[in-house]
Amino acid sequence: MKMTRTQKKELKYGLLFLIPWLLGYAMFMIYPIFFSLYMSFTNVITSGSGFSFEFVGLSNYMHALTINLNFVLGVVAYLQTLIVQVPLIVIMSLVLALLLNQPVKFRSAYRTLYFLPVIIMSGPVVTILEKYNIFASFNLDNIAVIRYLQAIDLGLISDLTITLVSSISLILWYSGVQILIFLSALQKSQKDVYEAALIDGASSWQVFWKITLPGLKDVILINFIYTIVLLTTLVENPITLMIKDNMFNKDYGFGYASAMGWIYAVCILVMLGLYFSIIKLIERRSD
Amino acid sequence: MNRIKTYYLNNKTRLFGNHIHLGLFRQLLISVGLLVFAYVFIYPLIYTFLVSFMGSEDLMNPSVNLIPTTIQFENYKTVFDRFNLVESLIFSIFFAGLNALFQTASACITGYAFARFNFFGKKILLALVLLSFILPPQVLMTPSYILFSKLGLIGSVLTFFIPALLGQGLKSSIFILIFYSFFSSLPKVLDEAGQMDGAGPFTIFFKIAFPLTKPAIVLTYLFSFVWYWNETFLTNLYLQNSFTTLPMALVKFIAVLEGDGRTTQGLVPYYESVQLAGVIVSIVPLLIFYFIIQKQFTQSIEKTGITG
Repeated sequence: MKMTRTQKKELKYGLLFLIPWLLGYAMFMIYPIFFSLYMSFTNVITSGSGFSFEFVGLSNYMHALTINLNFVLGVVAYLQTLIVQVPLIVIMSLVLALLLNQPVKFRSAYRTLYFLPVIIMSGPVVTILEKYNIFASFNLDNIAVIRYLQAIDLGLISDLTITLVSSISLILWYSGVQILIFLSALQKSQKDVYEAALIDGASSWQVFWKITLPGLKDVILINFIYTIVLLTTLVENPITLMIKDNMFNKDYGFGYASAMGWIYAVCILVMLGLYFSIIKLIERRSD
Repeated sequence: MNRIKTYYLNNKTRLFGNHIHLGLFRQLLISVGLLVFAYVFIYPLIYTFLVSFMGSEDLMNPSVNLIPTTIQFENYKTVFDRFNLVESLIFSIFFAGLNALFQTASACITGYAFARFNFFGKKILLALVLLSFILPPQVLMTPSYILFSKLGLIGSVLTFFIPALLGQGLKSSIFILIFYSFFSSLPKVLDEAGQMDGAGPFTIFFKIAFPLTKPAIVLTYLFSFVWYWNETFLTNLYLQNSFTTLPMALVKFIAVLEGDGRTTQGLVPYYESVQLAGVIVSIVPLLIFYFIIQKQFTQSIEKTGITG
């Protein structure tokens, strides 16, 4: 296959602009991925002169999955909170974006306030505030509805409501960027379609379900993925801390920590895939 | 009766609105909703601020909920005495400022390459960008640590500068995708006009495309700055004890306090206020930064059309 002159030129300059990224990707993505995969099957011995690797087969994985109960239980518990928190964050950010999209007074002031936690949230402050239960200090546990829900136990629905009410501040703190993403999509959507629908006698409720929501389906997917990635890569997430502890543990070391990292990665990829297919399924049903 | 009816009909729009204007009624309803949410949003900060002035009596007293009975400036005095404030603040500004600069530059040219040039394998490379977005950093931190320690870089800021310059900084893939979608939305006619005038690809990039990217640059720089500023996990891992950022200093300050305050009965309650005073002191610089540039912050997402 012969390339034309323009194709050659595009390839040449395209790659030229990409050089830094390609170099970085090889050094800080591809090499670490394969190295980490290799290490997860070995026992890494650190000595003064460097590292030596001793092949141990699957024993790191076996140990993490069958003997180290703290790790398995920790991952399961963390994924459970994620399954509840992720949809709540996306729904709350959609609700707030819809409210902010109305022509009310002081809109930009509200936007400034709602976005404020984004600048604090990725740091250690959230962990400290969580330690003192500040996100749950509304004391809503005493509200009758919550007690009732706890008593009758509707499974997922009670779980969702209880999580929402007891950690509403935290959930709102995680939704700043998503609110702005929804808001920018809402402002770009075509106003004339709404007006046509309203003139035809549709209620705002119908307009929301038939026009607004279907128009947002790509953005909803983006926000789901963004939220999952945001929560799973949080600095102070318990799994990360566990992996780091094992990195510098004499008995386990880097090999075992790598195996834990991969198990965690697979869990997250499975969860992303699950959410992705659920959303696609709902979209197809509603079409 | 008729007069009331006409009055009602005349003012119906004002009260309930139509499809263009919100009526008074809905305006009020939505405003109340937004206000309630605003309160829930900043409640943790208000609480932290108020408790940071409490003495131990107030903390022990269940009838004192939010408003301290006496204001204890002592808490803040302890913070200023023991928090390594000035040095870590200066280092944080330097650290986050430079990393964000490097990251913005590399993301900009990478996004430009993906948006403006067509070549074999581009789709695969773009898929690799997406992969690095969803792959959790927990997988990469162990081998990266070994790589840096082999290179003798542990304890050096280069462990952050090099990845940032090579498009692999914190969440770089998001920024690359932002620049990619931004440059894709710029009309190609501009480039063609440049080519007609005999400008090479570099001239077109620097003279035509680059000046138009201001919104994407602002967005990337601000987010990158904040994310680098707040990073404590990787900074602890790679910088170790050679440098301390402001959030790292906060974590250390709190650990030292806990060591002091631990008794056989648990933690002395007074330390909660001092710790929270430390939190307030550590977020003040970011808050000032935010309120100066908040307009750019919130508008940049809309302007760059992150969703497009």
